[in-house]
Amino acid sequence: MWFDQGNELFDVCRTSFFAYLLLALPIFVSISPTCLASKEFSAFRLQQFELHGSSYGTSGSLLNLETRILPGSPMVSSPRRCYVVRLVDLTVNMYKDLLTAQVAGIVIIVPADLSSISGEIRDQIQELEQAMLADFTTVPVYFIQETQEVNQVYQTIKESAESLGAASTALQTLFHHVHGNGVQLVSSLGSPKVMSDAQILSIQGALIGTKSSRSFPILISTHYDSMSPAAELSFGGDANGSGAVSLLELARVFSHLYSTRGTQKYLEDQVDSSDQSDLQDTRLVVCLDSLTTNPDKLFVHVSRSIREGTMLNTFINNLKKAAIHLEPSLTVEVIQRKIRTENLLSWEHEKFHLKKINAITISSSESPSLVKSSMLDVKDNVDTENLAAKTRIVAEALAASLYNVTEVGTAFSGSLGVSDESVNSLLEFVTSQPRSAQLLAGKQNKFVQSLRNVLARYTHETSLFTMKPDKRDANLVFYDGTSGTIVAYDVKPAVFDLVLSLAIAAYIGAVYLAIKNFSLIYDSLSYKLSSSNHHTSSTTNGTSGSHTSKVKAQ
Amino acid sequence: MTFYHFGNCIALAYLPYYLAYKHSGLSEYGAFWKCVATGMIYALTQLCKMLVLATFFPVPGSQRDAAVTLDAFQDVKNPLTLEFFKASIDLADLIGMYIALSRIPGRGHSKCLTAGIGWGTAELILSRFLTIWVGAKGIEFNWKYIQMSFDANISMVQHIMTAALVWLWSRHDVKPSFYPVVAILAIIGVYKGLLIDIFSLASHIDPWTSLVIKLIITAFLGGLTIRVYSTVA
Repeated sequence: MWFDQGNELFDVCRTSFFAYLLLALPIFVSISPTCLASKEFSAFRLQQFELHGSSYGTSGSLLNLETRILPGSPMVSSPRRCYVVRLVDLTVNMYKDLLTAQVAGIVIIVPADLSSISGEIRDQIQELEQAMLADFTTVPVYFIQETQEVNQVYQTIKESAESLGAASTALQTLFHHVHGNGVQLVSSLGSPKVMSDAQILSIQGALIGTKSSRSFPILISTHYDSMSPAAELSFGGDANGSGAVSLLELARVFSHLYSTRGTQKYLEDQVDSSDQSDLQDTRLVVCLDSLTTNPDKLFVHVSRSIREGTMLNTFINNLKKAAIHLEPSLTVEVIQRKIRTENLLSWEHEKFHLKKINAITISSSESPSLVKSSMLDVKDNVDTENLAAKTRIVAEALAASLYNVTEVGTAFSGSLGVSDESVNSLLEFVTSQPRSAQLLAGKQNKFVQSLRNVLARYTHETSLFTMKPDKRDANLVFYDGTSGTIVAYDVKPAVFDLVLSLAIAAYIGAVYLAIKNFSLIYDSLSYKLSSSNHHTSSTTNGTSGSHTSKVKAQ
Repeated sequence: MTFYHFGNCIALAYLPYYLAYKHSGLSEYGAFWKCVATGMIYALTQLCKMLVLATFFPVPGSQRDAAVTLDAFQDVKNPLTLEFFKASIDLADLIGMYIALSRIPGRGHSKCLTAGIGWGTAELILSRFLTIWVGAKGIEFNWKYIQMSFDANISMVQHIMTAALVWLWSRHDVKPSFYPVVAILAIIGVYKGLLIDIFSLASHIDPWTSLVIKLIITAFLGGLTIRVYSTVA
């Protein structure tokens, strides 16, 4: 009996058109394209990296959410809400609140013109950036650059937020839902992966003089990468573009003093010997970092007491003399600080110091925590003349220490000296692209190659050292997925569709009535009114039945 | 938007066709397969039109294929003229409609309705359904799918009207003085879309208003058609 019934049911299914529809529908759903993109922005994800086993930045990348705006909307912990906020409006506390509320996403609009921001807002942004880099979160955080389209989207969200906030009655809210638009942001980035082939490249160039000084070189060191919450937005003008520029300029200036001949043999020896022993002989390491943060200050950071008669002492004294001679308004201060290994933020020279090498860092920052990893640090942030002046001082002091000149500040002059134009063009080159470590970590990176080429122009021979993080026990891990696309869609809430359904139902009802009573319309329009027309009229039904009803619906 | 929104659009587009079919007496005649046949003729007509369009009309910007492009159109620089010629290809619809009508037996009203509804439904399925399917289901909301569905309703009136006019033209008992009226109405029906498009583009009218204009014009033409039709039927 059950079998018979089943057979019947099967027959019904087979003959029914809806059965085919049921079969076809999932196929249609799966093959249909999902969206038509309307507005696309390139977006930069907050940095993600691991250092000494702890994570920094964000691990989130997924974004497919309706938006709310800040300030203006209440902060609600919801897995479907993403908050859009301008960088200038965002404070550290707001950011922390957002993370605590476990919102589903944060999109930060970065102003198009970063160099014009100043004063309190600049400090606020820099404070926020440090907080972002110090924290770790799973909330996806994106930066998008302000464009006209971004502003349009922002305006749409803002209007939506305002009308929702102001609407006091339920009816007004409903009206807004039907009338206004929401915005849904969708990110194209997949989940970030560890960059397994990341490497950090160091470039070394050498200027070789006489035999005696050859064995006790002076090392000038600086890091050329930069840091900011968004990898693609870290142009690092001051930190540490200024250091890199200064180093290249020093190489250029000193290259005039060294002959290029007869060095090939020495260099071959150099390459053969391990660089460790080479380093042990180093008389002094001078690290350059963030030279233009304070325009009229230059700090010399040391980690040990300065003894009389050492190269270190001579150099510092010469630095002071050179400053007085060249830039009387500029003060040189020596800061002694014991190395604290647990601190992540440290000066570069401390690394050398741990290897028992005399090392100092020259910087215009008082402490490493004041070196801002900021995306505000663009080329315009650097005062080229100031940088040139400071480079000149370092060059003079170096020359005086190397050649035991008593009259400091006269070694370089005219075309041989540090020139503003050269500093400017070098700065332009260095800040021409973002130099976040993970962006430079690829093999055969173009920027590193060209940096090496510049150094090779001024020094006798350059070599490239590669540092690869250990795969099993890495204390530095980079993640990819630094940039992607965010697409903004206009959307309506679900209520809108319900209201629309009601309107359509009313309209269809009107159409139905018009078709049912079409004979009335037909009669009123027909040429001759006679009873024989009634049949015809009911058939022509469709003709203008729908348009009358449309007029009603309108 | 959601699948539900797609359902809304489809309901708006299809239900009037369904209601017209169900409540005009066509369903009692069992005219379903006649409608399908008309739909086939519609598809065939569109295929022929597309062949002509693709052969003779140069695509702006692409390299001209001098061998097949008609000389007359090669020198057409004015886009309006070009659009006019393109719209003229739609006159083939009248021929297609005539063929469809000739294959449907029965009285005038059922003939016209079957041809009109079959033609309109085929157009809805072949040219609008996919757009609505792709568009209305996407994440992005856009009023144009609702507008398109609404436009399908206006098209239904237009197609039934065209069918009635073609039928009237093929009759011999129409008053001779009405022939020009029938012809003019049919030709206006063909060029109506182009005229409204040009008008709304030129005076920057928003889609809703141009839809209302279309509706009013179609209603007016429909009224006139009924007047002529009622003299015969």
